[in-house]
Amino acid sequence: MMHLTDEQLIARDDVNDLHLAECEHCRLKAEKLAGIRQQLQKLPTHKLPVDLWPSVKQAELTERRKHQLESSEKRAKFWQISSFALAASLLVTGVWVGVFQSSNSQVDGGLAEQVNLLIDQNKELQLQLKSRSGRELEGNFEFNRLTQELDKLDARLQRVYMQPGNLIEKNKLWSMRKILLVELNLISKDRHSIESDKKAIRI
Amino acid sequence: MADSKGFSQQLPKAVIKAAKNGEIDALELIYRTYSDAAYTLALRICREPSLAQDVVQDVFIKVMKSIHSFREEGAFAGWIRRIVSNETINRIRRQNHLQLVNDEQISNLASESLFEQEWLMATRDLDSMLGKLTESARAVLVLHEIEGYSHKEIGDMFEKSESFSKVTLSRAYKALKKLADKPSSKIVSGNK
Ligand SMILES: [Zn+2]
Repeated sequence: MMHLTDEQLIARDDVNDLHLAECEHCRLKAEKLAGIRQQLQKLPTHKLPVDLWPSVKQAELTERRKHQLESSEKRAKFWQISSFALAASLLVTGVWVGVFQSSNSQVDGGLAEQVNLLIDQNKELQLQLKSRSGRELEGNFEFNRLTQELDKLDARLQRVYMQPGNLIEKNKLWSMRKILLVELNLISKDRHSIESDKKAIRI
Repeated sequence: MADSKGFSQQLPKAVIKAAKNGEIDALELIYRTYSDAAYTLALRICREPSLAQDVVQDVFIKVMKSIHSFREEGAFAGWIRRIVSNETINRIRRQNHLQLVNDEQISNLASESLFEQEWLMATRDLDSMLGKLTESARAVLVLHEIEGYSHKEIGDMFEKSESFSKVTLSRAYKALKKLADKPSSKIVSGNK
């Protein structure tokens, strides 16, 4: 009679079990293996010597913050793009031509010129900003906050241009917009030089 | 909270649900319930307390991160245990601690004398004997004989075949028997 090998005893299957039912010799061996297995099952458990929860929790909270930041960055990025696009469309469609056309008195003429100047300054600042702002600004809260402000202003400007006249309001909005762009440029300039400094240090 | 019942402990479904919703208290309860079991399993395989602690930390960070993907029809403890097993195997694989049997070794393997005497009954310190096995032998022994994974599952964890697991297991038994016969002998062939 061919007995089961150790390997067959360890890895039991239906055929092996059939043999075991008929063979006392192999059954005894199988019982010894079962005894070893029982002892293995009874091995002591170990207690974690340190509480890892604080670091696990910290990692989880950091992960959540990172996630939050990423989604707020995405939102800011969206606003940044839409804001640039809107402002560009206002500038390109020659809004300032409309400004002159809507002015018919001397007083209005002076104000219209001022608005015109503001639009040019906005255009210039916007170009500067565009050339500077890169990926490194994506996580900058202040930059993101200001671009959102810019977007709100653009929406207001668009509404103002839907109605004729109202030069005073236009003047006010373009001035506010100019201030925002100056601030944005300052942030991106700082960031830009920090990044260049970093690069210089690395070299 | 955690006791010797290890992975056989079950948490109420409400706790799992709360954890999936990101509630920190529920996540902590999961950690408190299974961290000792996770540590025990990792330590049994790798035998290095600091490495086992690293494994446990990484496992629970992973659990927190991916709990939303846990399908509730499966056993939650089993899900964590699988992550612990995989993580431990990956760690020791990365550290090149594993000496894996090759095909040549697989073919010349067959014995009939392993279970003729009750050699293990005479051995008081099975735990320290396990410490003298190769990491792959110990890992397969622990995963198959204690944790109840199939050879197929173990083969997958090692990115090896089912027969790799089978062969490694019988080699582990042979090594254990040698150690039981000669308790002073340091280790069997092919060990690190
Ligand atoms: Zn037989």
